Amino acid sequence: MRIELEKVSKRFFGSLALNGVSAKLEPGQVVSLLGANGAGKTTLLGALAGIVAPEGQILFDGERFHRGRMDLRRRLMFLPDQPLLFGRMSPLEHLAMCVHLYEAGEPKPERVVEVLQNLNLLGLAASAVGTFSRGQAYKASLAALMVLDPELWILDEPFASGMDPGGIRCFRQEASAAAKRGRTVLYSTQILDLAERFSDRLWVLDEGRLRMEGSAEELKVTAGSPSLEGVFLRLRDPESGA
Amino acid sequence: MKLYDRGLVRRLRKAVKYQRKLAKVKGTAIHKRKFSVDRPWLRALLALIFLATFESVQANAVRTRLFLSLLAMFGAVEAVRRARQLYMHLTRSDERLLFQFYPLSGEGFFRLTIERRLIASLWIWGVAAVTYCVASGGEGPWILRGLAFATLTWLLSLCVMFLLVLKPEWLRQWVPASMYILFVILAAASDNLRPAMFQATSILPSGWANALFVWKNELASWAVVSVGIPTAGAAAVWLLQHFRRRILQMEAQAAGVEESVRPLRMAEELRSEMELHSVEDVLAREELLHENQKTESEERSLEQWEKIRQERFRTEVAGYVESRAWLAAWEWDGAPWIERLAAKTLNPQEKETLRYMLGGETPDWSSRWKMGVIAAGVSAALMALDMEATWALAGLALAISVGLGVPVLGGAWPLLGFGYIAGRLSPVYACLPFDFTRATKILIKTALVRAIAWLPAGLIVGGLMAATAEGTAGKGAEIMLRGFLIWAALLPLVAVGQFSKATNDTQDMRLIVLPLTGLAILFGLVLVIACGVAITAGRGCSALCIGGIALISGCSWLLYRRIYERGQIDLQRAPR
Repeated sequence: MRIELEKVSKRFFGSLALNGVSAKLEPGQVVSLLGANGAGKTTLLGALAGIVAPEGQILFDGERFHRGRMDLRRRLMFLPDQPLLFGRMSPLEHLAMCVHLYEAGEPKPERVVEVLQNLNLLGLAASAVGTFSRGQAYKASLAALMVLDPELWILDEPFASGMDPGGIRCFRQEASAAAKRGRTVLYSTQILDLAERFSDRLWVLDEGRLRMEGSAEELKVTAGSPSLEGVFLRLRDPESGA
Repeated sequence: MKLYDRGLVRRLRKAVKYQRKLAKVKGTAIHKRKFSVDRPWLRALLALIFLATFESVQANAVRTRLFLSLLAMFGAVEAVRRARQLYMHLTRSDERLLFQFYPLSGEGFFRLTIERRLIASLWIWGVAAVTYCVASGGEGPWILRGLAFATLTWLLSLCVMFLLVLKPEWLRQWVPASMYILFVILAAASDNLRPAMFQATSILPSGWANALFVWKNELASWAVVSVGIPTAGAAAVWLLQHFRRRILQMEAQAAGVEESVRPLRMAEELRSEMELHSVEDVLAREELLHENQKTESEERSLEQWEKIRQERFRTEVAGYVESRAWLAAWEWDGAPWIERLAAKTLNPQEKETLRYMLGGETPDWSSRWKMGVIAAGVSAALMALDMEATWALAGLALAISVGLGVPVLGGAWPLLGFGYIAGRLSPVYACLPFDFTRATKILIKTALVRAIAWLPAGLIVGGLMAATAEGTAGKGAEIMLRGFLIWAALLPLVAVGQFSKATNDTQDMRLIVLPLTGLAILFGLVLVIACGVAITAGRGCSALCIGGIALISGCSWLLYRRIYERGQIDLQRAPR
């Protein structure tokens, strides 16, 4: 799915959370969204998911996206940092709910088993998510995302979701495979090392503006810094020697 | 070793009380003590009521009967309440749980509990003694008479209590509370109803002594009481023993169920296998299997076995996933009648959406309807008593009935509930492709089915209310019907309200919102006036107003849908 953001802005109680963000996402890309706390990362992800109503335009394959466009809405899935789940539902029931609301066809059982196995969730497949730890609950949501495999994967802080290293590795493998299949993966993170290793492009937001965009190497060259950390610090303080 | 020790029991009870006190201090909703009539202040209040009426009772025979009726009712309520308490204490109280970990036999625990409950039940005896002494009016051996009749009432109440604990499924929490409400209603009954009330309460076992008490032939009354006391006492002891056996048997069954079931199942499996094969074959195969297992168990280490166990478990789960049973749609045909009817109004996609709007939990509409109809019945009964004092209670019962039977504000929909996304309140469906139009359709259809199911009860109560208030029953039923139609016309707005609660439509005050807010206030005023007119005006005018309300409500729904779907509002709001 080709995604275009045209002058997307969002104001919360007088303050600008997003300020004229324009960008493009191509199919098959893994994009990492970076920025300081309060830079507008979650707001931007929310706008793409239809939760936040921004000014400006969001186009999916040239078509204007809004909450009422169920056909477009079903082509993406958003995972917040703390997924909204029913405590009494099991991961399988949650998956069944997603399958129904996304009006997706019945998933292949072997694929479901594979995903649950990889996320170390197979033994808990029929247990209530209310009894899960934070990381396990995130995995339950992630399992639904992986099985449904929408065209646009939107994830808020997947590396700070409480998942164990096994879960994070599984996510990276699955997301990479999805990108190879032409899916677009957009996630926010504060872990720069992971972002550098696991993304084709990086978007750096600062005070609601998209300040930098490109591959990790391009950003380093532009900012004249040997590390992403330096790029980050220079955003805030151009005189910084980092 | 002594099987139970009173000192230990006392210390444990103290520990339980202390834990309860701690939990109360925490003040969490879970630990809050439920309202109970077993409170010293309530007992004192009841005692005061009895004492305050001392003079009036002496002077008035009709009032004597009233107080005897109240005593019978009191005995019955206490018997039900105490039976429930006793059963709960013996089976699922904190003490029961705690004592299971100590060397106290089930029998010991039963004895201790019964001792305590019997002492507590002397309260019934006390109230009865005061009532009978007062009712004797100081004539003859009034103290002895009062005590004898009180003893009989107490023993009969105990019999009822021990009889009821044998049927724990009858001991619902709301029964004693409802009986106490009835007690208050009886107390407020008009003079001409009192003889009938006395007759009615004399049917209760706790009222049998009353029937004897008012006998003209005092000698015969004494004779029956003298025989009645040992008979009731013996019956109480017999019932208590029966209950003891039942409880101990239950405990033994609960403890032994695991051990007893397994060999039984194995025996059954073996028997079925024996039927299929010859005995020699089975024995030879068993021997071979045994040999193999022996070799395997020697070769494999514990870790390997653990791996195998986990692998088998995973295989089982994988088998369940592959069965696709978790993807299967709900069978609404087997649901209770209101749920089934509601499902019939929906198409297959809507049915599945309904399932998830309910959070994957089965709805309880039929059981709520049942409770609503009972509450409507209570309201109607209170109306039929035709007493000023019961009007407020009748109104309350009707309000409860409406609350249970009709989803006035749209009903409870977990998917439309709240959660947090990045520190802001968001609806649970925020991250899912959830169709506004489909959801509101489901909400309106199910609400209508539930309300229509309740409507006959509402019409009857409305009719009775009007008849009691010196109007005509038809007029009351018509007002109730108009109320229903107004609510049905407002349903699109109610559905909008369900969506609105988790959005920032009332928080995000932009310039464009101001004229919209003004318009909403204007619409609101028009709606309120139209509702008033629709209730009070003539039929033609009322129909017109209801049509107008439906139009405004429908237009508001369309407008909100446009705002919602075009992304003019956020699916999140700042927490307060």
